[in-house]
Amino acid sequence: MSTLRFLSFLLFGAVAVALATQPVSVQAQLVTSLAVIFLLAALWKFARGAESRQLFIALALFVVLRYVYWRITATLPPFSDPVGLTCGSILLAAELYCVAMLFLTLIVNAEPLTREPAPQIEDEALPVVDVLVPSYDEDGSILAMTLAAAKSMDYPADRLNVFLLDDGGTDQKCADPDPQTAERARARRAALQELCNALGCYYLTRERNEHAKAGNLNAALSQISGDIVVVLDADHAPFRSFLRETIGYFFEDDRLFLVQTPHVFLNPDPIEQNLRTFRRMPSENEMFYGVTQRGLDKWNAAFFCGSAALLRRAALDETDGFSGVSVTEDCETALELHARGWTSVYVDKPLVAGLQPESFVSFIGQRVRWCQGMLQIFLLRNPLLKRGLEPLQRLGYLSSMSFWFFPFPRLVFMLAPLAFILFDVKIFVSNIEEAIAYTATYVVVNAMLQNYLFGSVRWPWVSELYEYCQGVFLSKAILSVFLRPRSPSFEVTAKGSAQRQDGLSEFAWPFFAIYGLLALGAAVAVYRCVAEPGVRQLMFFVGLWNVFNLVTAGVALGAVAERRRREAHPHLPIERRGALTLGEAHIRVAIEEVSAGGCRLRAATDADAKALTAAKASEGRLFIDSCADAASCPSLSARIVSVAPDGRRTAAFALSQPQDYLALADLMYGDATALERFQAARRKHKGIVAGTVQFLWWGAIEPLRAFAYLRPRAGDPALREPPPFADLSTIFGRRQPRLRSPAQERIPAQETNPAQETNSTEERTPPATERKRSSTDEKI
Amino acid sequence: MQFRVLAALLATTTALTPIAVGAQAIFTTAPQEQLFRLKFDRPRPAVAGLQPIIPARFAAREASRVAAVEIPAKAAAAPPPAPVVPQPQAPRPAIAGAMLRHLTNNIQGYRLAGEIGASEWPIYVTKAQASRRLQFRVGYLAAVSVMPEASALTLTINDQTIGDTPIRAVQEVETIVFDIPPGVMRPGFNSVRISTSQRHRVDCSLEATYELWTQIDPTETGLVLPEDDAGVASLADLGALPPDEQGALPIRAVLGANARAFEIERMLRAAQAISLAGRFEQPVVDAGPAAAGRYGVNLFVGAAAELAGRVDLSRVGLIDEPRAFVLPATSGRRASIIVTGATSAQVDEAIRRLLVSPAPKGSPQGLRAAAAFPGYRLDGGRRVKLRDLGVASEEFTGHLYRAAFNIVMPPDFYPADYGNAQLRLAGGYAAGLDSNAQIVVKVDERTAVSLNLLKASGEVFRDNPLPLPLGFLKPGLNRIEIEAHVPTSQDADCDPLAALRAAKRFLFLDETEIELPPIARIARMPDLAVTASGGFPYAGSKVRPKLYMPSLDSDAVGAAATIVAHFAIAAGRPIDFEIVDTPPGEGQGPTLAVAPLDSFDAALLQRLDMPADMLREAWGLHLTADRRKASEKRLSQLEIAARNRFVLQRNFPMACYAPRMMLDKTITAQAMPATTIAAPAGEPERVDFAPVGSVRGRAERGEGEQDLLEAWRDDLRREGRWGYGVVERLRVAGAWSAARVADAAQWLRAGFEAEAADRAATQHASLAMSQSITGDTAKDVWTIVTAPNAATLAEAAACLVDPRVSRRVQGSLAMLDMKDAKVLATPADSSRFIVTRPLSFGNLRLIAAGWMSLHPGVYVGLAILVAALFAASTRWLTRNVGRRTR
Repeated sequence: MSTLRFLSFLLFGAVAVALATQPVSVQAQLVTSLAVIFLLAALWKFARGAESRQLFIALALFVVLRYVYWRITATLPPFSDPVGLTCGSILLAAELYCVAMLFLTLIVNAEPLTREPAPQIEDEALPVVDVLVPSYDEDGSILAMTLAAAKSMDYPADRLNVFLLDDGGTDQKCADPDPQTAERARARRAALQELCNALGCYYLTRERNEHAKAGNLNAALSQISGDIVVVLDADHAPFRSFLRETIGYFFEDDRLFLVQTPHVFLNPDPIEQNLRTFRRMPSENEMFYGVTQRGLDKWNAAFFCGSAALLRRAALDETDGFSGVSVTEDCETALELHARGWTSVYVDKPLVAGLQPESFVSFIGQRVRWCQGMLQIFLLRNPLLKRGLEPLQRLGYLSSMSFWFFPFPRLVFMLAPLAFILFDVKIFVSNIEEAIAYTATYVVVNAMLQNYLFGSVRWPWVSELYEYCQGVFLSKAILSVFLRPRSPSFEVTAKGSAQRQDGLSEFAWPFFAIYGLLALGAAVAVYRCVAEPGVRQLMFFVGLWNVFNLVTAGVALGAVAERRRREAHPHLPIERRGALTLGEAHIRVAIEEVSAGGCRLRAATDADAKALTAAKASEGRLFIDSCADAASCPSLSARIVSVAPDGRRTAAFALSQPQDYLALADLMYGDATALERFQAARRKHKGIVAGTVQFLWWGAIEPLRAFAYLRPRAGDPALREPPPFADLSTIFGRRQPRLRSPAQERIPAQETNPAQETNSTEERTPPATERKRSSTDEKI
Repeated sequence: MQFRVLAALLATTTALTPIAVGAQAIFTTAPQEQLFRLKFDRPRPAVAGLQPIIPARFAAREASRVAAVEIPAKAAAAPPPAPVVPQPQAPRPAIAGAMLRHLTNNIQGYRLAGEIGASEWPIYVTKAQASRRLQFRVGYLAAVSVMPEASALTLTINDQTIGDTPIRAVQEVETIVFDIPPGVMRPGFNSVRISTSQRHRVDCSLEATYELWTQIDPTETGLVLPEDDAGVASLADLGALPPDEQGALPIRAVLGANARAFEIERMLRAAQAISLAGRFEQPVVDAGPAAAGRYGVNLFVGAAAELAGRVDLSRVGLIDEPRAFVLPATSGRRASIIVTGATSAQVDEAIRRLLVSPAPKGSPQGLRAAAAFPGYRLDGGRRVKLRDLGVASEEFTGHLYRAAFNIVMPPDFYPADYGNAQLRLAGGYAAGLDSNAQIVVKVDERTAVSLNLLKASGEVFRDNPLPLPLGFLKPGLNRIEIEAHVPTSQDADCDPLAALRAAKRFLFLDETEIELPPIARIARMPDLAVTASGGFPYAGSKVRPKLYMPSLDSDAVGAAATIVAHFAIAAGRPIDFEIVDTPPGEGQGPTLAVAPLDSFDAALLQRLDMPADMLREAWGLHLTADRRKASEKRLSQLEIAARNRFVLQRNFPMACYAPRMMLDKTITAQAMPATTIAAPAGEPERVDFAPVGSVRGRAERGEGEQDLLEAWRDDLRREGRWGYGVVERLRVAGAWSAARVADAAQWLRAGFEAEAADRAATQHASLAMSQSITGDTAKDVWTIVTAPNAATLAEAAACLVDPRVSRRVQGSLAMLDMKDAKVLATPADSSRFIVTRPLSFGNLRLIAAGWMSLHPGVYVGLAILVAALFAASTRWLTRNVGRRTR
């Protein structure tokens, strides 16, 4: 039966390919494409469900196939035009890459899995869980929060051990030749040991900083003996229900080595911050965690993303711990274990809240590491050649890795129109009828397909924006991996280094350069459109494409024009109750929003509201209705710092001792549904039109803001400095990119050993997916 | 050239955007010109127009004829240089009494229309003739609009210019005789090319160029052979049989009384062999006693004993083996071909030998012309350079350039838009053309593709692909015309005299090539076009095709033989028909039926879907009238003159001329031009045509062409320096965009419109041709050719096989109206596919693509269906593999 199913799939696939590669007339092509577009719209509007989803994909694929067939067979420049042929082939290769990625995406996401909740296990049966929190140089308060949250997880206390794996206080560091560095390391070690003692955690460190994060974890593995290992990045605080929601899967499947949960961030990444989309738009990683990991899960190919995951110790022992050939030990480990027949589970439920890098520079640094790591695996542990993997696991890993080649096609699409506009190189042979019947309809169908599949987790054109922002820097990183696959080393992503001033990122200048080039291209296009009637029609389309690129580059300018971060601590909206004592007054309050620094609350009842208004004192204690234990009554020292007109108060916490973090963890990480609500609020489907309008708007206004940042403002000390053009070597250094956040640079001690390890935020990547094509991508 | 405004801004832009090539719409493949490498040191001729050109000549290969090259700098201010090279042959009076070998008829007739025209004929000379001192006589008549001072007719033989003459015969036919230098003509086929370059007297618009024509008078044109020429003496020289003055080869089938079917079959085969060997496109067979006259041939086929009463064979000795030989013409008799033997079997053997023709011989150019005549046989996946189709390179100074060639597609070619034939254009255009300058490619007078020439700086290209959708081609003969509309703004205030020293505007190189993609091969029947222009399905039929003749009346036999010979010519190979006197049953073979309408059984006609009643009603009285054949009627001198004039002015197929009907019209037609002719006053200024001075003369063709391209590039570079006229470009913009929108609208309409026409018969119709298919194979194809009566049948058949007429035959029913030499065709209601070759996967795919291109709705439906099935199977698969959502 299964053979029959497979054969029928192959048969109809072959028939579809045969039909799609029929060289029918342009009229027939146009009619077909329009009919398909019409049908897609109808399906979208009237039909939901797995069957109609497959039909939608199949219809769209038909048009895509026709386009690809036509593109390959009919549009390359002739041999008599070698320049055009070369450029045309590059563009074609870029397009084919995108189509290949589309196919991989569709295979991976054939039917994203929706899981039942994990079975609930009686306490007596629960295994011992060791929570590992690797750290390199994170701030103590961040670690305290994470450790407290980990310690507060709903799990029998005697079976839950929390370990802080400190790589900032190793013997090697404490004995650093530089006395300042050594002193700082020793102080760090002492402070963290004290913190761990206070919280009931264990402090672990090691002799030497070897093999970065994987080495750190492996060193810890030798000292612990639990059955299940939980890895949490230093800035990833688990919610209380984390283990209850996940541990049950290990009882269903003896070969299960991994339960991965999504990474959710409480603060915006630099692009979200600078475009102010954090509260409105799904984060970049949501396409990966919201759809792709579920898709992978269907094929038993969901992989380890470095944090927020449970691993079976027995599986890790088989491979002698975490693999460390690449700088992304997580995916590498999962690949190794999948190849050995272990299975993985992905739980699509936000249970861990983390932090994003805050500056564009550190954001790029993080992406460079992921990109280099994934390509290292691609080169050194190629999933296609790896023995033991199932075919679909191979494709899943392949899609996650080859996704990282995106910088090249993206840059090709950005610059291709200039070849014609500025240099008259013709790279796409077509007449206007064919261009409409094939290219235009393909662009529309592709946009519809992307939006249909990912519209709720990714706004239109945002993929292009992220790809472009990263691509400018990643292309160099990719080349260096290919030249020296083993050379990239683990770079710690800086977190919590808040941007205090509006200003351009150090990495901004290439974006200005490209923007200028595209603007020149647009000007020349307009001129030639007017002055050269012969090329008007062609120039119109190519110019349109260039304008789209210009818009993208403009939005990117906004993305690198960094806005001041007003909030010291990221907020999370919650729905909790508590009591506030201000002097003599006991007031029941509803707590609506919380951060590490404070919370926003309102009086629970009218009577309480009066009491609150009447209260004279502004300092007091906030008693929380605990999730864990109604009897215990954790409390925090709180001071009312502002009163909103609607009566809501903002309170600041004074976290004076480690136990305060346990109370804060209860308040902030007690109820995981808060995180779900937070995420769901952003996941509204963004249609193509609305998304395009939004994008155009950014494209219009963001460059203005970026250019305004160029001009130093009087009286603003930070901006009296020269325009923040980055040091060239920072970006295109000879060795691996030395990406350092400004914060790091303020601490000279840390520069001594840049190739050090630590943990970092770890969500993997939105891989493999779609590539919405710009509406004019193929016009020349 | 006229845009010399050079703004600083433009200079900057030019530097940044090195080139301005590739202005053509969206066909983006012009070679990349490095125009930014401006050559500032190159001297610029002070007077650009000082290079008189006779375009046709520049292709001449003889080195000595292409001498003069660079114009010396000092000549810049001097008057036009005197002709440097071979003084064209001075026209001589015709030589009385000499024998004139006429040109064979061809598809374009004898008309050279437009500012530039050329026609090439293969002409066969015997060894004896080639060694003689020969002359060529051209008789022509031109339209009144032609300006003699700027118009010339050039005769080229084997690519060697023989001479030229100003075109001034606008009132009456003028004949010029050119001496052919010894050694030019070679035994076998030779290429004779007559080309014209014409300019309008008063009007410089594009439309006006359509008024320009020069009509070659076939009766006055041909190779002048000495009176004592022996003519054809050997079977190897069948190609040297003289066609008559209208270009047809009259073949008199000399049959005995009450000829039997097998005798006629033999005659048919012999007539085909002669036609094929000599590349006669219009053999006209009639049956009767041996004919007199200079032209054509008498054909005797039969056993020696049978022939005894018809021809005197005493001098050839005893015939005891298969024999085929020629009896040279005598004063009282045409050349005669005797195919004979002692027995019937020996006669058949003799015919077979006749059919096995040796490899054709002749000059390379002549063989080329013979191969491209009537059209070059092109198959899927093949390419050919236009120089092999007889198109010559040209530097053109006029307003509308035209070049045309014929290709013959296989009869089972399935036409639809599943691919494009690529016409890879090599050439260029000068700076400063108007906004509506364009290249238009027409297939059988329908515009297939156009390309705007919009670069103000001009452009040269070597490989500029123009896609001709395959749907424009059809099985059989296709005529493809390349037009370049190259007006400039100066044309508005027209100065005809400026035409004398006009600058070059357009360059066409004969390395342009046409390439066919793989084509679908399946025949569709009924389609008379395939039969008329490809002989399908009779030629190459596996089963012996049948010729059904209810009556063996001599007129009907002549008509049948004429048509059969035409089919053989069209197919390029002989067809072995079996004559039957009862309608063959189903599946016995493709059948051709030739007879007057009343000879057919009414039931048969009905079964074959022939609108017999309609025809009977239309033809009425003619059905029984015993008409004398028009050709036998003696014409008065006046009538002959009138006829000739009419024929010439209308480019009318002479074979279709029926005197009684025509005469009235002729008189009016004659009166009309007389009033409009304005004889040029005084002696017109004599224009000396230098040979193409601008051709950097090299004997080697490849190099010469290279140089030409380079020279144009240099010119354009110079133009590029000055040529960025902003204003000009702005002006050009609007018109062009509007045109594109209109094009698009028309294109979409064209995709969905189906032609519809009613089957109609007119009483003017002289002949009806109908085709139907009773089964699914080629064997079930019936073609009926009929006419009101036998005499009309013979007459109309002779008209039908004129290439200009026969190429109009199409559909399932075609009515020939001799009065206008027009064919009224009714398309087939439904056609059936006939498999002609094993259906390979590739062929099936293309056939399917073609069919779905013609039925887009089906493709859409199939696409959706297949997508749905694929979706269902995917869902079925994914639901059951991998993990399941619970």
